[in-house]
Amino acid sequence: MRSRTSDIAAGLATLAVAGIFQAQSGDLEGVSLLFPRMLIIFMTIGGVFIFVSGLLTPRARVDEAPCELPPEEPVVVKRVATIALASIVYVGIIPVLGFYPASVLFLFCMAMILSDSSVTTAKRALSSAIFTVALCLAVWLGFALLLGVPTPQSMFF
Amino acid sequence: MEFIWPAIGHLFDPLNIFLMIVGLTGGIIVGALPGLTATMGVALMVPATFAMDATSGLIMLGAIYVGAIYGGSNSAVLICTPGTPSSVATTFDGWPLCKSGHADIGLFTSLLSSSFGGIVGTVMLLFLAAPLARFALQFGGPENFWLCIFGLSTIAVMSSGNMVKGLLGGALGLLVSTVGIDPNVGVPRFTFGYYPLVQGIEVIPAMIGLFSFSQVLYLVGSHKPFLADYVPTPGALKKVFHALTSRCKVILMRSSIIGGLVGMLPGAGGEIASIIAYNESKRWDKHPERYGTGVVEGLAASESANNAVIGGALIPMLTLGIPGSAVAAVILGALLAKGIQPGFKVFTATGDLAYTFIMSQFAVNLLMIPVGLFLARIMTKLLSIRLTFVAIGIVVLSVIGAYAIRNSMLDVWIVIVFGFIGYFSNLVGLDTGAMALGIILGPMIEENLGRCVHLSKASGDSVIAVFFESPIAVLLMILTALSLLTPLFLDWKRKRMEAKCACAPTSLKEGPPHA
Repeated sequence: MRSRTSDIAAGLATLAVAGIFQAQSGDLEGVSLLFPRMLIIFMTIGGVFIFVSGLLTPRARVDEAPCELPPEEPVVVKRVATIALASIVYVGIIPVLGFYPASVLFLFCMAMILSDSSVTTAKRALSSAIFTVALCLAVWLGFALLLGVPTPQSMFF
Repeated sequence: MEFIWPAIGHLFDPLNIFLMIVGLTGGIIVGALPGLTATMGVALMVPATFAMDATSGLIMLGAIYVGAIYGGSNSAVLICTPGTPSSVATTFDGWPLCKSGHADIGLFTSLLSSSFGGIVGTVMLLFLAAPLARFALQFGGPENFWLCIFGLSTIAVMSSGNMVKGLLGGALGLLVSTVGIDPNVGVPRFTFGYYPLVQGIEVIPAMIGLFSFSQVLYLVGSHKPFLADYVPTPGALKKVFHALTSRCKVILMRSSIIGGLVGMLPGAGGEIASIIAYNESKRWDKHPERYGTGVVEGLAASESANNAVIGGALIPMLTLGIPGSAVAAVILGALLAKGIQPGFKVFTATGDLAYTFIMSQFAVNLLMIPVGLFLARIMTKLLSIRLTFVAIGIVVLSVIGAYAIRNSMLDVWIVIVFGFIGYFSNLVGLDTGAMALGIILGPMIEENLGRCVHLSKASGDSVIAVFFESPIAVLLMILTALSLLTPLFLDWKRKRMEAKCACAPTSLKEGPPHA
């Protein structure tokens, strides 16, 4: 992201967070408000500073910037959105299906979707299935059996 | 000396050697898994020690502690995820080293530095326990407050490229840390109408989200086939050893002393020590701009400090019965369960046990080198697994690791939310390292600020007066000011040099990023 855009976005995000916390601090008083209030004020000043400095950055300077900065790596937005959405769904279904069934579903589907598309579907399905079983087994052995770490309870079992 | 020779003799007992190796291996694995902490590893093994004699049990718990603190660096280097909060600073140079294809350099530097730091910490425990314990007792609210602010001043050094964004990231982290019950008066705050948030934002899930889940989003988006290119460096261990013994001697010693001193302060742990040590190392370096690009100096500072914390944390535990860290508290519990009362008498009444435990820390830190080397070679195999599998595997491990902390789904959601925050922050240049620092130090800062406010009310003075009453607090204030001003001074110096010589900018960046 270019310096100008990132400054404006960072400034707005900071101001938004400060605003949300300010709105929530209504009933607080005394020592419990002291520290958050200091931070909210600091973030508001800093947010305005970054936002304004982003707005004031001349476009001509923006064009010069890429020479000084390392080239940004290309990002495949679709893949980022896919894993982000799938992770939300995964965490959402854990309390319903249970940790292991949800993990099997998540791992297999994601391995199929995100794996190298040049490989045949059958090969991808096989490698995804092996990976899913191996990881779930390793997690069960390491966490549940050896360390006795509990897994999230499901609605059904 | 009457206890030391018999103590050394106990270490050659085959059972104790076996327990040290098992403890180290288990500790390294637990430490390397995000979400599983040294405290959890030691606590899980306490019941097992009840079947052993007190000496063997303590030796094993000590080995797990050492292994877990070092283990955190493995995931910090390999997947940019601090396995324990102590390894946050390790990601700054460890991950760039891994990305540049030198994962082995990163892992070996962490290993040797951790071992060195652990030994220095143990030397401090052995020879300086009594005076240091008395010094630690002088730390109250104002001193702890300024210690944390000193730790926080690292942000200025960390993000000298854009200090305002770094400070804003830190402030955001501090603000997030205020969610939940207020540590001073017990009032719930910033719960946004969602009752489970009364528990507050737990540090570890937030770290997993900021460093691990955000990294998953980045890696999947990058569409690379593997996590990082990795070709084993011929003679990597020898090169790292040479680098550490030549140009990192001072860094190792300074960072280990910082670790030992910070470790003995109750509440201040490896995370603060490693960040302060990293900060100091960068501040005193001739070319601080290299830090964060994958330099062994940064790794050496962070890892030696967090392992030196162990010896420091054991000082108040053994001499005063006050644990310097959560793990020390668990070990203290194990001691009490065995009917051993910590205090200065522990070195006389149960001297055999106390000195065997201390000497075992030397042995464990030395044994960690072969054990750690063996495990590091296995862990680098992770880099040959396809990135898609690693990324989605990290998601599953992050979920179970976060859930394991408090058995709460809230922590799992925290991972996801902070993952998005971390990803967005990286896009807009808000420093996630600074944010993590804020989340870690926030509760301590607020709690100690509250104590200072209460002190000022009780004495009828202002809070400022309370700060200036303590010479230690004043010293920490001066160090904080120096820490904040150094990057500005260095920046000014760099610009002056650039103005003097037009060709200077490139020459400043010379030198290999690795050993």
